[in-house]
Amino acid sequence: MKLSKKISIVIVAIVTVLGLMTVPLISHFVGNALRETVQDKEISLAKVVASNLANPVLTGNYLTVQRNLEGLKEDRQLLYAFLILPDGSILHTFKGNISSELVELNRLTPNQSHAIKSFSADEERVEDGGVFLLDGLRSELHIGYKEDYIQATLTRIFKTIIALTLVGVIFGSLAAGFLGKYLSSPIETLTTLTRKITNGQLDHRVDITTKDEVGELAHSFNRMLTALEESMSKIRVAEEEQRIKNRELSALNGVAETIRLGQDINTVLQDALVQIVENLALSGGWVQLRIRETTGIENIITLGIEEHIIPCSECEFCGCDLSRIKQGQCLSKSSLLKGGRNYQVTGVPIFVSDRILGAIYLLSDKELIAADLETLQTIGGQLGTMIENVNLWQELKAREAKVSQLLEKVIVAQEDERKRIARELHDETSQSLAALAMRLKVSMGWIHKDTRKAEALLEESKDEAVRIMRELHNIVFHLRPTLLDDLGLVPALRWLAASRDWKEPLEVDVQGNWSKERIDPQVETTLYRIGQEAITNAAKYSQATYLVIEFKVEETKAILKIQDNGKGFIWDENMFEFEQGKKPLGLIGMMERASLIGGRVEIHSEVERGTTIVAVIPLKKEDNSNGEN
Amino acid sequence: MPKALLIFLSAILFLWPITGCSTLTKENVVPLTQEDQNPVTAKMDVTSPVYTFSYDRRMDPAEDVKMYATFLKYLETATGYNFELRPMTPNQNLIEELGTGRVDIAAIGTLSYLKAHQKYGVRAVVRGITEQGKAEYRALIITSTNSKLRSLRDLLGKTFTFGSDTSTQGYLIPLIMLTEAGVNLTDLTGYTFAGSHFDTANAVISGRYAAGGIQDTLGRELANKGLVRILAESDEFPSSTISVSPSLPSDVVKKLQEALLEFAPEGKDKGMLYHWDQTEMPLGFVPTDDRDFEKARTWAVRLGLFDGGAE
Repeated sequence: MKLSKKISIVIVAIVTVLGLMTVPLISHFVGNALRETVQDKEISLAKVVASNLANPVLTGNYLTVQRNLEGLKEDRQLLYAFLILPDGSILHTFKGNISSELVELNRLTPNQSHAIKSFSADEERVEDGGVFLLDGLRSELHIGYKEDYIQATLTRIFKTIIALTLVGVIFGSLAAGFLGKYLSSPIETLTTLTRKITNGQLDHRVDITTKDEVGELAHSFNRMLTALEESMSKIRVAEEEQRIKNRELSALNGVAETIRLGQDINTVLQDALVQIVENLALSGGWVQLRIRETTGIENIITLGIEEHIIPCSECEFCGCDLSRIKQGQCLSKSSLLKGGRNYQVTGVPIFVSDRILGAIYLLSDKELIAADLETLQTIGGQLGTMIENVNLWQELKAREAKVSQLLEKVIVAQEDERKRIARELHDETSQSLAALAMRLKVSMGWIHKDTRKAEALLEESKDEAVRIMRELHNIVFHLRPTLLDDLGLVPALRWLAASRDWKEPLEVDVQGNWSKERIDPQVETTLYRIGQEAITNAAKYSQATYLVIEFKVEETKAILKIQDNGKGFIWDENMFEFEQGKKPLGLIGMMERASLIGGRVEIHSEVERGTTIVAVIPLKKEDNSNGEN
Repeated sequence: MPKALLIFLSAILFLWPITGCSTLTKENVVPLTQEDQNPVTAKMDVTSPVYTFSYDRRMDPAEDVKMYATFLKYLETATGYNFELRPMTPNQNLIEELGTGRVDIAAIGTLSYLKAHQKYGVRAVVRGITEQGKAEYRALIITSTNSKLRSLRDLLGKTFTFGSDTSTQGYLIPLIMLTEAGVNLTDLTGYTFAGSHFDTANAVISGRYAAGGIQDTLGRELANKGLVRILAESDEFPSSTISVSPSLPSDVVKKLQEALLEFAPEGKDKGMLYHWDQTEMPLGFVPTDDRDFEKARTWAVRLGLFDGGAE
């Protein structure tokens, strides 16, 4: 059932019920009010009459009393009056004899001020009111009033109310119909609109402009729709942003998952390019890496595009720095015709810190959005970091190999040194001691036979013993020359170069500002071992005959330079890696010793042009002022 | 919901005619008249013992009823007995009613007492205290304010009105005053009994009578208002009494006397009284006996108002 019909029915029912309830209620209340009014009037009249009759009664003027009673009948509503005298006799207004039932009908008790009683007489309603003539006197005055006019009044009121109720029902029905239509119309409009909203049509609005609650409801409804539409729009934007973020995260995650430190850069970059193209829904791309610190490039990775159609270019982003990259200024946008289709090409740098390592170029059907460009820039940094990490990993691996080789050389060198000491002790010192023992034994045989010969032999034995002592001194000195501790680096190196028994004796020239300098013993020992290796190489393998030892102490570093005129060799930085099995462990050892205390060793050598070894060791501030040489 | 509505509507429709038309039903049908021509008499309650009380008429009849009706309420409260006020009709004689026991108690003056005592043995229980604080009162002879009378002797050849022929202040004492002044009734042009002090005052004020004998309290009040002029004032005589019928049981008399002596019209009992200050006993009562009335009895006998014989 429609709301308008419900409202009509309810209003008609209310009007009808209220009308029907009003009839008995008004009849009851009006009837009571009229009856009370009549009673009040009756009692008042009775009291006035009683007051007027008191003296005539008390003085025995009963005729006067009778006349006064009959005078009351001028009131048309008054039906009778009678007076009960103190002795019980009756004075009344009836033409005939008053009935004893009427006399006794409404008698007063001493405590009553008046008495009212309604009764029927001669087919009409009568109300009897009685009062005492005087308080304390047993004499009662009663008057009877007709009640019919009260009933007539009630009947008129009843008919009037019924008529008004019917009129109310008719007009109420019409008004209810109009009201129902008036109230339900905007509700139907709102209901229709609600259905449209349910179907997602948020652009509709209610066209109700009344300035009442319905108008306010429509206004609120429209505001709700506007807010709902805005919220939906925000949700869509948020969903799009979320989708882009997810795509970005997927791309970044995909790239991150491709990083395997054990793999080579090309493989890692290939996998990363696949992840980028797939996650960002691109058509292909390629990666160009910069050739070291130059502006040259090499195309090493492609995906979805043949290498020959990639346009040749130099390092496009080599001029970029980190601030420009972060501001989004290092981007390139161009187009490329491939397979008859025109693609957008977007390039971003691959960088780490401030260094540009290359660029990544991606093909797309349409121009990439800003969020994708930001993602690509992030990926560029991610790839740069990845390349850097791979390079560092490889460098670390190479360094580990070097350390392993150096350790091996140290062990070999220790064994060689032990062999040398053993050999020298066996071949020279031991032999010399045996010869000395033999010589002493012979001397003992000659001491009693030929004293002079014995003295000569003893003299030889003493010389032999001195020579053995010098050999032992040499052996010990080569282990660690006391000169290094006593006089410093340069005297020790000069002594080493000059006193060693080389195949070809070396001519040594010493240069530099070392004479008054003593530096950190650790630095001094390191430089001595580097110099020892250089001098040994020059004397043993380079067939040098001339050697320059130059030692300089500057404010922040100590520089030792050993230059020979030997046959030299072909020097290559990569020779440590390339020449597997023939590694120059002596040179490696020099470099490692220097690097252990933060220094470096530079090697310059050409065939037949000698070799120059330069060791540069940084000094702490107190290193060059600890004492004098 | 529709069912509840239908039930509600049905109840309204069912109850409506009942409530709306209940006053239209016929009941208590009482005939107003009857064929029997014998006089109808109202039934009077005679089931409970009631002591009747009456009085010498003094003021307006209705005013007397109102005053003594409230006085009887005090007596009912103080004694626990029921009393009925019974004003005397013109055809009734209070002395006879009291003497024969149809009236048990009465407020009567000295003259009525003397007659009732002499004839029936009626006993005076208490005397009233006047506004002067005494149990005696006086009578006044008043004249109109424009009268030329200056003394009682000037009444010779004039008209005079008494109150009631049983009244002490309205008849006995004024008659004594006239006698003492040497004015006999025969010296007057005419005299009458107006009926009450009020009637006496009206008769004098209106000029119908040259002078009249009246209760001193009312006479002074009228004089103060300029309505009358006091011509003479009497000596004191015993004030009005509350007397009882000789048939009234002594225990009732005793209890009645106690209640009367405790009566405080200007005190605790003032609120329930009606104009008691206008009576001859405005301040209550004192005990009395027959000896207090010798002087008055002597004068009454001398004046021939009664024979003064033994009880």
